[in-house]
Amino acid sequence: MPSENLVMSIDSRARLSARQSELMQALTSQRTIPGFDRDRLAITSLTLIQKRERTVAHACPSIASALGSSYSNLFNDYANSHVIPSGGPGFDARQFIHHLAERDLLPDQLWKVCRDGWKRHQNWCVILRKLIRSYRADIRRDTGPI
Amino acid sequence: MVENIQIAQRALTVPLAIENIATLFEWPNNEMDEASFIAEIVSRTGVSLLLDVANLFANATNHNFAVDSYLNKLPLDHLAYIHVAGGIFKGELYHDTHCHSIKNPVLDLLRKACAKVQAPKVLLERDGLFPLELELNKELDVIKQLMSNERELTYVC
Repeated sequence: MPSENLVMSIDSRARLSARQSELMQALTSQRTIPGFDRDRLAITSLTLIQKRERTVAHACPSIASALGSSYSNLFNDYANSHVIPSGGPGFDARQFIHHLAERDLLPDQLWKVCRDGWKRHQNWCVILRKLIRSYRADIRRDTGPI
Repeated sequence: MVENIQIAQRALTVPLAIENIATLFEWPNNEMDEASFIAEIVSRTGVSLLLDVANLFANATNHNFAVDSYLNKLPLDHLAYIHVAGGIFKGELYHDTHCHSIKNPVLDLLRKACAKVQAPKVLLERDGLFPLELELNKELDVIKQLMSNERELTYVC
């Protein structure tokens, strides 16, 4: 049977939750946190950024290829000031592009990729609108005016 | 943790397993060592165990504890699955990268686990820097042989 002192009180749970949140903040912003090994935290933080960098490059290879050898440094700067957005590496890539554009660091090649992506998006919107219109016309034919 | 696992168990229609993770730092003033912590959770919830031998090697190396004592504490009768992966040393620290070849001590841990309990399924985790198929197949062959206790340690990788 578990010993009584292992049962977690609501206070302990709240304290642990706050401590975990503090740790997450420290890891994502490369800060230190009292009680934890400072060097190990820094290494973990860096490792997490490197993993994030790889997943973004995998999700959007054109970013890494357009930025070339400066990709790592630029991504490192970005990751230190931006937490990972929800939605996965694609959203992280998009946020990174915004970050670069705001600082006028987006290479021409990437502007083209973004513009082409936007055009594709617009084309899909046009197709979707046509489909919806045709669907509504079918309904009107079957049931009369809506 | 126990409460959270029980909530998940009630919501799921399939068995739940928990995995030992790889860490580069320890939580300060731990009340329990990792193996005792996992054993306590399993005894309270009946949850299955996913043993990652690469994570175990990483933690034993980075936090300096003995793997044999760790394995003895684990409730291996609840073992549902084993993960194996490669990694690299950066200085004195071992990083479980899933992007490098499997190190011999990790395979040794797989052998030890399989000698203690009927080998369940084993998964080789590989996330990047994929080698030639031949090299990957060699790793898989060694894993298969270790699972069936057919092999003493004369590794190819």
